[in-house]
Amino acid sequence: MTDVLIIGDTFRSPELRHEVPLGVPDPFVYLERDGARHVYVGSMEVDRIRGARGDLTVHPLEEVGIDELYAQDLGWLEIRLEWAARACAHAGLTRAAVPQTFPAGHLDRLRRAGIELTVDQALFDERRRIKAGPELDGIRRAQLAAEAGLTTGVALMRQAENGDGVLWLDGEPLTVERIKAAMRLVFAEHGCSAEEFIVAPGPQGAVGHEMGHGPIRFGEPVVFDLWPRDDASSCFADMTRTIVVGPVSDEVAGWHRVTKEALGAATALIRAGVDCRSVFDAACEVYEAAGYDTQRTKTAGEVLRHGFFHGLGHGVGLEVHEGPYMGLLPGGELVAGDVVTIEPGCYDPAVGGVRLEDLVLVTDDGCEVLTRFPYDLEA
Amino acid sequence: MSDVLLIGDTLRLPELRHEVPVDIGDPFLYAETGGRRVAIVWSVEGDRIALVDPSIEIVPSETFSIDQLLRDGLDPYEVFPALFSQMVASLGLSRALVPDRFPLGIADRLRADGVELVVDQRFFDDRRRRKSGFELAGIRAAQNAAEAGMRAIAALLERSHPSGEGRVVDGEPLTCERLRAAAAAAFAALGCRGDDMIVAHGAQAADGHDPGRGRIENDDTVLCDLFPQHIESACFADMTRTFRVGAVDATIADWHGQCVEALELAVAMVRSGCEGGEIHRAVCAFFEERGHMTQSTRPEGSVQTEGFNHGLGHGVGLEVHEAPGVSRVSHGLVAGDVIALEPGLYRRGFGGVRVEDLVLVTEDGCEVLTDYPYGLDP
Repeated sequence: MTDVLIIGDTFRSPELRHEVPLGVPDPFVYLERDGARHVYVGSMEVDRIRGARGDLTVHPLEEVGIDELYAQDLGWLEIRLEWAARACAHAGLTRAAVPQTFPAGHLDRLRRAGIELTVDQALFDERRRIKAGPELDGIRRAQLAAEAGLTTGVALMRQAENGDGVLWLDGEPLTVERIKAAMRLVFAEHGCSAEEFIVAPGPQGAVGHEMGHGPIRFGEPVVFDLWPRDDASSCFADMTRTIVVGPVSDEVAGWHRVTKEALGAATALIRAGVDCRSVFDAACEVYEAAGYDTQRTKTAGEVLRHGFFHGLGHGVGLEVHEGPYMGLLPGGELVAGDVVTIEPGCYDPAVGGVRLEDLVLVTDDGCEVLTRFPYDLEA
Repeated sequence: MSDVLLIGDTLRLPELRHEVPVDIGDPFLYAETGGRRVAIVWSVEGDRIALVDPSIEIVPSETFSIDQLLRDGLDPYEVFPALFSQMVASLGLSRALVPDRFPLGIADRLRADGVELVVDQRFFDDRRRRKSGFELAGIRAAQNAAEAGMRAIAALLERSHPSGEGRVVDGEPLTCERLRAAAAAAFAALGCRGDDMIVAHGAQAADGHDPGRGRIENDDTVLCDLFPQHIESACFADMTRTFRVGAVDATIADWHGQCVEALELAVAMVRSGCEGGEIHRAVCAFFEERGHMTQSTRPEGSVQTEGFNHGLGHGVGLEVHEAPGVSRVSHGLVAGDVIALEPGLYRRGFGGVRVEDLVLVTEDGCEVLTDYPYGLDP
């Protein structure tokens, strides 16, 4: 059995949050030695971590002589390095798999202590892939929060009026900032929060991760891409819809039609065992048949700005972007328990874009679509 | 001047967020070399970096083709380390300072390709201790939200009344979870978030970072440690107050008076040039004179479950706990440091009291950023 070492806090290390499922803001040491799970952490966190998971042996740092380190007038990092080395010695760890993001600064100290560390991200990704229990519950709660937030955002747009070409509501322009503030409140009411999210009107919607700002023009598409995180589980959801108030141009209506078709074609293929690349290909074929560029048709090194220029989807869990990836890169096969997004989109930087994104749970014979929200362009 | 290399996303790597003050969720490369500041980033991030800092040169990641790597039959897990190595080579970088959290998976590849990486966390910590104007404004906005959250909690406690099964507001049971939701809504209304605040009642307050749970009793003590993050700047604030509802508890009232006095003593010592550890020791001495155990007097190697059992304070900025240390780990304070000072007294199984203010260190003292009464009454 491979021994494992993770050093970090559970807000920034999803690998660690998966093993120690509660919020611990300061870095600590987690290791697995011969299948037994050990945590070495400041004494103020000991009881809470013991309470979160019964199979963890939790050692307060006093067991590895933290007081004697403090007495030596060392800096923070030096103390953390020593404590990591002592924890490994205490548990008899000599060789361990670590995640890709293992702090490089700890490497030299631990290797000097004779500990062999090997990066094996695949091992950690595999552990996190199949969603079940509290993580899946958390994803479902985050998805409900996303839908409730979007309902509020769309309702504001629906009530708005055309005032000299831009949307107005209650005597003021209805800006992206106003819509986002209202949506954030809804996330908070659902026990979720969002670092950021996209409400991007017009040309902003064609700029990848542009988060959106300012007034909204009558008749332009607004891309809503939301990924709230459930506070209790730290798990994300992810969904996108595109909304227009005012007359919809033929071009935008065409993008919407082909995007919905691509979403349908891709979703129909999802089931355990299907190759990720083939799902991406199915979406690309829909766009290419309609005359749009995709990553498959661009030349190497070219920066694509029109058509379907991004990947189709990704896993969602403790990270908003995680494996499996459905895009140009080989992504392997889907497995039952994967939670993945399917998010085709079509863009023109001069006009904006249309993107639709659903979150699905892969099953043996298909998938459960977790997103329940109409695809309509009209608010 | 040393070259600098950072690889990561700006949500999880504060060193990178300090240089590139925009939220970028996917890993990218930032380097300083030969007087250039360069970000190599996927074009989906658009002009967002250039809009906030035009001095950063932007290179689209797409100009580094993965096609050849895939043709070479590289394992998907090796593609990104290889791609980052190509990017580093294109910059002519042969030796660079990196933070402790530089990803080991990429460090191994770069070192194998002959790039010398030197971990120098102090270098990055020192940069971040000098808050930018944008960051300091973010800390103030977060502090403002913390106070609004505290007011929302206090208002519910103040309006609550006793019942057969504990406190009630508007006909509904009053719980730690409900108090946290009220504070979270106040944060959200002010562009902030805070998913790990402590609202702990009764004996839970003695248990470090226990976030708290369950019904507020008719006679109860509620410890509220709020550290919202301002979303746009990613900067935190940090404040604590302790409230009492129902019958007075003489021990809690006594401890509370001492904590407020200890906080005032600490704030009076803060100025540029002062050692953080000196302020911590002064507060320990203050508590020891009043018969409490502290980190200075507890038996070495034992877990301390009563008295003042943690450090006095820490820096606050892009991380809620960062340099300088105002505890057994000590830094000399400099003007521009933002530090939290948080004396507390506890007894496991009984409960605890803590009060915490956020201050900005100046040449001749400090500016207290927290504007909220200390009173035990909500």
